[in-house]
Amino acid sequence: MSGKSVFDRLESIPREIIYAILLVGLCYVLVNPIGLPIKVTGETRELYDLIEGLPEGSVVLVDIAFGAGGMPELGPAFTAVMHHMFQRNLRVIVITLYTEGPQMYNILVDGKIKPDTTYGKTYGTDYCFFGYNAGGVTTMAELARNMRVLGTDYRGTSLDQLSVMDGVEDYSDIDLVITFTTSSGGISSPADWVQQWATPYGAPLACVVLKMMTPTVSPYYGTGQVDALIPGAGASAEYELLVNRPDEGLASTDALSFAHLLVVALVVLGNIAFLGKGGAQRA
Amino acid sequence: MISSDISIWIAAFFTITIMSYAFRDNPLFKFAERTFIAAVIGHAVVMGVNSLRQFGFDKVQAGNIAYIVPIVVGITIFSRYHPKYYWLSRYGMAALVGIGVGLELRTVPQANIVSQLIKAITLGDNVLMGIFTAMTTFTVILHFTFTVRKVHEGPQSVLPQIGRYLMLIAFGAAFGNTVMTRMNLLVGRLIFLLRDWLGLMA
Repeated sequence: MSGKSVFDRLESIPREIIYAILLVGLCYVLVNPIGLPIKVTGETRELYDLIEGLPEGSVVLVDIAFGAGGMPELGPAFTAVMHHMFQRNLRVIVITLYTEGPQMYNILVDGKIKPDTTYGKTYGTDYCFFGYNAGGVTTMAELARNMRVLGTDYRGTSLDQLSVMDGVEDYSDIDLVITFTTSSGGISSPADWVQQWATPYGAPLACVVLKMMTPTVSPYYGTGQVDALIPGAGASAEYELLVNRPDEGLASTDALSFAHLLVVALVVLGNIAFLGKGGAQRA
Repeated sequence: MISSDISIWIAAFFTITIMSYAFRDNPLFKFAERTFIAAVIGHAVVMGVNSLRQFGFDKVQAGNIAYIVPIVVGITIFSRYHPKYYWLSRYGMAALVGIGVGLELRTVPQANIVSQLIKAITLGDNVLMGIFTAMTTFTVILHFTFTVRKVHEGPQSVLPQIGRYLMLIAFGAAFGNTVMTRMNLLVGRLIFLLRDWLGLMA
């Protein structure tokens, strides 16, 4: 006999086995979805209502602050929220202070949402993209004072030739800022937007963040400095339901539920092993 | 149907090789890791240079001579690699730090201290949540009050204990959220493999 008890074996399951179970299980659930019911939570509804409550022609400043690493979580949420804005007659100005932002715009807006063909929108009239702007918080602060500093869009078209920018001079002409961010303390973090836009000017601010960032951003939400706060995971599926655009968010819901059940099961097993070993040692 | 797009195949290859690290370190993972880092750095350099051109050199060429000042200040940062003129880099760094601190100090006290304090000591619309927030703030502060030892002795020691448990609940929630984010990233890549590459998902 090796002398290892059941509890010892439970505590030392090789990680390869756990990862294999996780991978096989996730693949199975993704290919054969169970269709678990989804309930739209209050936070998701809050962002939806915030956009829904904007009068036609309102100007929304969208900040892409995620790259390829954050795309699986924030990509579906970004797509769903952008669909919602294009479904309504809003003027959408997209900026990014992230070097990977232009790629995300190309993949998600030009490649996936396609506002021109899907909603009959015209680039420059209904929406525009200003490409990458360096400077981080300095640029953010300057934009609040003077949006015209952007100069040209990512195609090199002068700002004066973009009618979507007509009358947009500073923060007071922006009706809502939405940041999609993976940054909890670096460039374009929710804290930066709170400190440079929401606090000094009272600009309405919504944050779509990674699920793990919600505890750090929620104090701003609690004080009303952030008007809406949703995590990408889970909320993207809810938002897809609200705007009737089922996509990746809904596809991932069952898989996420399976993954969490597995994690909970492993935590329970670990605790059983811990308590069992403790009991054996005491005996 | 399996994809015939070469870019999808390349992305699938790198996704699988990166994931393979979860099982064991291997040469293919190292290759993918270095390729990824090289691509990110190359991309960032191109974006940075392009930004310099758009907001710096083009402006100077258009006659805005004032833009020479930030360009020169920026260039001084690179002087730290010169054994004799390294001290010049301090001017560039001083400008960066000064502007950063100035921008932050303008609003951080209001955004991070005053607003949070007001929220912690006022009940707001949700009275129960207001009481809970105030109680959490008070008990957690007590937990970290080491200068007054009596707080941690006798019957009143239950208060910092409550603060400790409330912190543990917060850490647990943060851990759960982190797991959910990691799983979501994995699921996102699996959707790419199963749907975009293999065509197994609707």
